[in-house]
Amino acid sequence: MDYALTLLSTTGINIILALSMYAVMSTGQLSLAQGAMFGIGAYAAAWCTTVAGLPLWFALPVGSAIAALVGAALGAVLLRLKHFYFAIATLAFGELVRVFFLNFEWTVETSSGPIGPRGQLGFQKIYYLAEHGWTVAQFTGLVWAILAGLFAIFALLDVSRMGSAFKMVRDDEVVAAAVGLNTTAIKVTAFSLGSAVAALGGGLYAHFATFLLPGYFGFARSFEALIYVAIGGIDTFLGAIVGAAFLTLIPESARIVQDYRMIVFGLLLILVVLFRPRGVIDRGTLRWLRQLFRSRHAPDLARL
Amino acid sequence: MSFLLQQILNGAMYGCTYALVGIGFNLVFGVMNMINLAYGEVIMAGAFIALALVVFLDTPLLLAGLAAAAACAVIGMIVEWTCLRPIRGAHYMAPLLTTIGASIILLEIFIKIFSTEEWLFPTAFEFSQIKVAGLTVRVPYLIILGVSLTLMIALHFWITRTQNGRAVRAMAENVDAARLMGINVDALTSLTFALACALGAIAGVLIAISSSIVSTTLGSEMLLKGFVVIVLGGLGSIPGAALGGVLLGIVEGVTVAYLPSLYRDFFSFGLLMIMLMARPTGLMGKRIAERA
Repeated sequence: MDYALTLLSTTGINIILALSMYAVMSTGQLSLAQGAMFGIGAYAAAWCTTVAGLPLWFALPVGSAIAALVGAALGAVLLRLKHFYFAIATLAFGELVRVFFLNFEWTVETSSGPIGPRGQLGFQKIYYLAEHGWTVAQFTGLVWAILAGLFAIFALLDVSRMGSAFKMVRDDEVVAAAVGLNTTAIKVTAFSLGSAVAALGGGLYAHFATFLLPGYFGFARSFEALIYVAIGGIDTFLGAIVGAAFLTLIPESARIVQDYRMIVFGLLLILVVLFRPRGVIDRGTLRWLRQLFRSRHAPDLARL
Repeated sequence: MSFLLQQILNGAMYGCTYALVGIGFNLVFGVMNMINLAYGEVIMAGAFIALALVVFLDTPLLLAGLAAAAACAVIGMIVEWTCLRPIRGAHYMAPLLTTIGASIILLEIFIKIFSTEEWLFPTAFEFSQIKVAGLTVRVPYLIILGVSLTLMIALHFWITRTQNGRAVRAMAENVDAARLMGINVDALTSLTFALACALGAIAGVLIAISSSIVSTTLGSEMLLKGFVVIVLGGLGSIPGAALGGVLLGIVEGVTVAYLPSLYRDFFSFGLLMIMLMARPTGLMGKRIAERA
């Protein structure tokens, strides 16, 4: 039972990471800083609950807010750059964050020894959940409640003017600018939103894993988020969710896939880009799903 | 003063490997207008192939290096054929994604074979050094310098003086026009890609010789260094990459001498970001502005 719940939590956290990547990609930008934003959220939230003694419901938004600010500032500076210039710059930022955490020490003494980020040793002993009597089921519930909230936000965004603006910037920036959209502001908003979402996932991860290592937040983590979205689909946020869920659960279900997990991911990524460039869930899939739904009701409508 | 001079000299010599990495990146970028994110792992592959030959088969170093270069040229051609040729002209993200896929696969294959441990790369001259005018020069660095300079001169000659080189330059200007002039774009793209990967493999072997240690993290490390080099020197510019590589080597050499070694990466990535913000075309890039 606990295994299933742990897996559900991991899946939920990975989906959140994928959604953060989708937010940035929905404006046509490729960010390789999502792993770093995830790390910023993890460190900030963990610091809040262990060192500052704040409750979890407060720590998570703090981490998110910090990452949103960092994302807005970084985006404002870097989003003047285009395409892979932006991707490279975010990659460099991600590595800067990783190296920063490798050197970052800020501990306080407690009865059970020093607590806080300790450079290369990472951030150990994040025992908030155990100390406050959280069960695995409760934590899993929290992860999926947050995910439900994010689902609502992304669904609303999808039909809102803001979401349309994101897509317009993605499809054609020149046209978007020509109809009076402030394309840079839109891209910065999306990047900041993505950073906040990634940090939320990071905060959850920190308390779930109980320890953090700086190496975990390097660009490999950003690549992973990118793979979820690219395979799942970049047309809609449902693609990110399906991609992350599928790629987290499949390795668990088959031993052989588990052993060669990254090779399978790599192959899938290449195959999807070659043969289904919009990802598995694209506009066509959505239309097909909608028709499937309609045709079931069609006879009733015909009778009326 | 002589200490600083020594660090600058060491940095410049070691930086030649970065220059090779950057040149490989820029060769591909110049011709195909895309970045090969699998390049780091190709470099790692080169180092490990040479290591396996030297350690398990007692191959002479020179031969092992050449074999690694040839093997990586083949790997490069496979990557180009499977990941890039089918999606030529697609959205800018597509080649980034497929080459990320290739890099993950390559890395994982080498982790399966060699594990994530550090391997010793034995050479006869690891600790030998000579003294010139009060400065000490490590023999591995001399080899790096010699091999890199030879390769750069050969490449320069190839690009400026030969028929193929001229064709490659034409492709960098305008692929469609080049095709209309009867240039076999497919074959030349393949050739350029293989050449870049062979250069990367040699850079990998040189790094392995000089640090006498190889591990599977070499690839991601070199990918990042390569980015710093091409952004410093200018995307698509081959002399720029050479200059950027040597500069990065010097910056690293000097920071390592005066600050804890963990700050080294902080400086190089900071440099990259500042460069991108202040002068995205790099020190020697020209055509980039219209391409971006």
